[in-house]
Amino acid sequence: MLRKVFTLFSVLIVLSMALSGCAGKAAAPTGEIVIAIGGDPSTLDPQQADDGNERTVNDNIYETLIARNPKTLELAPSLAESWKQLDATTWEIKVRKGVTFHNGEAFDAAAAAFSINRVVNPDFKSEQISFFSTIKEAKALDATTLQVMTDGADPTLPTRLYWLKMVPPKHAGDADFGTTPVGTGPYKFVEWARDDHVSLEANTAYWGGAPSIAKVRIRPIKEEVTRLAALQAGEVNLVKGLIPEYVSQVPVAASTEGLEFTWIRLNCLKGPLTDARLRLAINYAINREELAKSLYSGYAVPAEGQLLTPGHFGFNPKVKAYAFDLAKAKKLIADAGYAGEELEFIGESGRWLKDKELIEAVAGQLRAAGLNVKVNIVEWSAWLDLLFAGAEKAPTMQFSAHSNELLDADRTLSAIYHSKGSQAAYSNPEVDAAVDAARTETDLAKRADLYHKALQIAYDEAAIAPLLNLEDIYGMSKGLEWTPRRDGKILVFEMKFK
Amino acid sequence: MGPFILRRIVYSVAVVAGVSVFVFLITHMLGDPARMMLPLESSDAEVEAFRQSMGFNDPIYVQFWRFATNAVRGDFGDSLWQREPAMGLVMERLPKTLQLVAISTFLAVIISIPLGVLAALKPRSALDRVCTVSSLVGVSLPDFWLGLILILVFAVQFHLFYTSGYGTWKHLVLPSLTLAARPIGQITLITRSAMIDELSQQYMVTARSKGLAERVVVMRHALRNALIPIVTLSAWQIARLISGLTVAVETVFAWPGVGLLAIQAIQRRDLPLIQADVFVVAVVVTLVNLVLDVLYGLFDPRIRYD
Repeated sequence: MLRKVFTLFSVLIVLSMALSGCAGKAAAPTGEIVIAIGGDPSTLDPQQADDGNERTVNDNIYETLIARNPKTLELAPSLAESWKQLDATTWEIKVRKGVTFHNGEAFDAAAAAFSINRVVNPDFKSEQISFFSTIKEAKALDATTLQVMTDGADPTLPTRLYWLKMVPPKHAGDADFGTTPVGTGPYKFVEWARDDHVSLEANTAYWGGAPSIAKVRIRPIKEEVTRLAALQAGEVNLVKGLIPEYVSQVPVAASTEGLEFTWIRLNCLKGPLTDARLRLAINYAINREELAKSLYSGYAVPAEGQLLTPGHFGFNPKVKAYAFDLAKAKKLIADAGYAGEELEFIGESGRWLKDKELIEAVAGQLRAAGLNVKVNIVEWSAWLDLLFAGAEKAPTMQFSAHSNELLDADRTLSAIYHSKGSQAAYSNPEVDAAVDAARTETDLAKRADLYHKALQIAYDEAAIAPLLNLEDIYGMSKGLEWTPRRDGKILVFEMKFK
Repeated sequence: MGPFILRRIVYSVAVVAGVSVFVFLITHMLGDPARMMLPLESSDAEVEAFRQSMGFNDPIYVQFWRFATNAVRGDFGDSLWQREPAMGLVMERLPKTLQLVAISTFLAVIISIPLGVLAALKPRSALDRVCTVSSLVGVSLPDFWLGLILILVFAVQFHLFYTSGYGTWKHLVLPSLTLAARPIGQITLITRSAMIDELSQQYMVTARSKGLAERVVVMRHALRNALIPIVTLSAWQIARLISGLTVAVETVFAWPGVGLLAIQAIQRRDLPLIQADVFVVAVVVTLVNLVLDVLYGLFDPRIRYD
């Protein structure tokens, strides 16, 4: 009753206001695409922040030397035409001729060297530095030949360059560079109204051909329901990060396997889970298929027995997902002589899609197998402290999520599987040796073997409990043609209106 | 009047300073900002280097001294998130929040005072009941929820206004209405009860017996005397709107104001930005209070400032 009265009341107020103006339908976009993302870019300097919102804008303005094939994720030429390793620590790269930045500055090997040296300079304080920590310096030999020197052998250099955007040397020195981006890419910067929109326009002189869509407007809309409403109202054409429940409500939905994994860190060094049988039991007791179906409406897939996808270099195809087997889990628990010790399961809430629900559901499945799991949802900063406190202070189990955008196993294995990793609570000298050796192994086949070996050992010992790989879901307006990329990049150049 | 205003200014400065110190202390007890800002995969060495470069390793009193000496000059440092002077980022958004608050307050006043007066003229009539019940609903509806319902009905269903964003009057309508709902409810109720009080006073009988028109009796005599509680409540509502109620509404409507900025600053543990945001909001709220204290005297000559 109250609601009805109030609705009537609101209707009256709004109608009276609407009558005084000429309210009409939002115009259908013609040659302009409006994209809604979760937040405002931190900066538009492409080398400073580690921020997905910044990337969504700058991926359309800037380019890297090396790109990736949208389907296979294999490395592909972009501003570099070719690259080869001269010796353990030196790479030679041939850059594309005749490319200019939007402001007319020439892109050549010197500009590329400048871009690389800028981001690795410690005084620059780039948040992206962990992506490039092995790069020592770069220099231009001539207009098209670039040399990159690494600190020790680094076979992953090309994957790092896939993340390193090329900036114009002159303009990059200007104080307003962070608010007036200038790249070589298919779209030129027009305007940034903070927390409201960033506008771009097509670069008709783009070396890869003119884009099909003339204008781009990227809008930060923090609230998920509002993003959905904006798409339904026809105000935006593409929405990033749709939640599975909303899929049926959007004109067109598209999804792709993402790069983010949820997983549980098991403390293998202290407490009850030092017994590998219990860790295996945990892995067998989790019904990942069921979790993917019930919590994510199928927009998630069980993680393989490793935190990598087939697109990552070093992925071991033989390490499959732990199959759900309750009987086996119960037997392992009995064999381990588990007497009901409490297993503390630390989690957080709200950082990742349905994280708390997932934690509770997993805890329920583990309890069904006979494990005395106690869930403890803590505040984000407390969660972070526990994740990085080292194995001594690590809780028995901790929920987390991992994403490796460089698509090379080193980042994942160094952080999580190596005993010295910042998030590790597992130690095996053989795994450490393999990860260390792989970091400098320049023979790609041998390097892959080293990762395969490390991942197999970690799988057999159940070093961690991988959970699910969440899909990236996009909502689109009718008439927009686009296939989402597995690396999560939103490249308007790849889109067109029917 | 002069000494009174001076004293109030001194109090206001003390309040703003106290709030700033409090925010500094709270934000420095919230955990490690370096870990919050860097990717989860960063190594300990990278985090340590970042912490050092940001000055997070200095003792708390050194950090406080740096904060305090800069803050008096209005310099809160660069936002860690947007890498621009934090004060500038807040000032850029302040007019947008004030715009929203001004329109909402205007709506609240022009809608609720007539409603309250009408309801008071015929207590227990159908009109009175509708006003009272809808006011109660307006007061108790969560603005977050109300905002979403308004979006679904008026933007998605009927395409009358925009779902979100900033720019035209069509962007302004739904967030202002959402923000105005609670003040409308409260001011209607207080107007109604203050008017019922005044209308039952003896001087009303005198006024009517003098032969004054009913309109004059109600508007000039009763309403004028009822204004003190109404103004007090409206002022309090404005202060509440600025100091935090806009956070939810700006988030739902993607309105680029200080509330949305504050929530993003907090989520990113952007200490300079949180401090600048709270400082500016504290200044505005104390200013509003100051102005209203002065206005009281104009509405009611019985209020003296000595």
